[in-house]
Amino acid sequence: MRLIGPYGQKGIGALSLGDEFIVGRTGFSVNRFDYGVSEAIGARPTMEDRTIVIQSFMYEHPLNIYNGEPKDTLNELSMTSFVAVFDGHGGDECSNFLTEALPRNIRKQMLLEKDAIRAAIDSSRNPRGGHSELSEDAVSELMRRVIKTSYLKTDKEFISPKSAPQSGSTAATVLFMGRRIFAANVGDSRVVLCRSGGQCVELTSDHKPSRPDEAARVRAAGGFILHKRVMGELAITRAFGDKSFKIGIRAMLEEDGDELNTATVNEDISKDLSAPLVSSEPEIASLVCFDEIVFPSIFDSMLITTIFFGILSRF
Amino acid sequence: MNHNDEFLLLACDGLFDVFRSQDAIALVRQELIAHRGQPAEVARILSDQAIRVRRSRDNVSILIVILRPFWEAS
Repeated sequence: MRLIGPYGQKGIGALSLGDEFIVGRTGFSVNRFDYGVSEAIGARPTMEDRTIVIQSFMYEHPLNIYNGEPKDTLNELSMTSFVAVFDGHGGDECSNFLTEALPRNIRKQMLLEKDAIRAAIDSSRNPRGGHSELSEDAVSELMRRVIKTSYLKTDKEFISPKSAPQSGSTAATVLFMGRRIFAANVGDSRVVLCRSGGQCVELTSDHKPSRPDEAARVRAAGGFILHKRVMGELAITRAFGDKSFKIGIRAMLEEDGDELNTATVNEDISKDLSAPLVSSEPEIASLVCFDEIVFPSIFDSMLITTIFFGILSRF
Repeated sequence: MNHNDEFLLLACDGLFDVFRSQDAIALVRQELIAHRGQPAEVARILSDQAIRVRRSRDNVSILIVILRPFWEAS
């Protein structure tokens, strides 16, 4: 077969991740993995949740052209995808901000550590060319640092401006990197894994005042739990945004015009009155989820899935 | 380590206020098998259950990521 026109040029006629095309009356999209999203406002007056799916997290090429990049550079690092659910509160500014800023900061941090990550992945291969089965190794240690740094940086970006809104948001995120997945959260949105045969594994643990270690952290920062809420107000102990909970109890009380009750607080020198009551530090689970037999069939090839009929109006 | 992981479910408390994690997983699994995949349709069914049947009053966001087409006979 001789290809003509744009199909004759290398790369241009090929489908790329993220492409959407239509055959007859059916829409298709080119994906790395199949997924489904449902977003419902429920009985609330506003929708403050946000969901994102980025199939090709590291590998971007302009104009959907291969850019002369050989296929074999699509190695473990470029086979990276990112999905997230953000549950905003007190407005949608924070959850909106996260959909752009969190993936941007994780990507930036991964590129900064690119050589270290590649080296760690290479050394995790055993001499016979196979992969280590360990989910905790140099790679996961590096990636935990990347994800944690990106979360903290993103939060700082949001709360630092003087004009920053008071809104906040949870985050439940999954970073797929080669055979590994990293699930991270702040707040009470969850990542749950279904293993073979329907076995349920919660990869995240909610950050709520009912968790003894979380309540202890809030108290150690001079805060209290009332009606199952931090300072009687916030139902979660970790979040993005919520800047008034990040400045420390001393500054919070000063802002309210209250005198810090030095008699009671100063007695307990173990309390850090400038520590944030609500933290944006994520907890991160690291797993090896795909083996080398299953892995190429899902991640090494593109998957063409039909998309909603409703999306046809966009064409 | 078992590499036959089937899917991931990400959701906010609007779902987990009215569903235990394992019940949500069981429903998603059952519907994925019944629909031979179609995670978008299954996500919609789950949020419908949460809002209309179990009366969750919050926003409900659900994201299902398929790791393996486990509903197909191997």
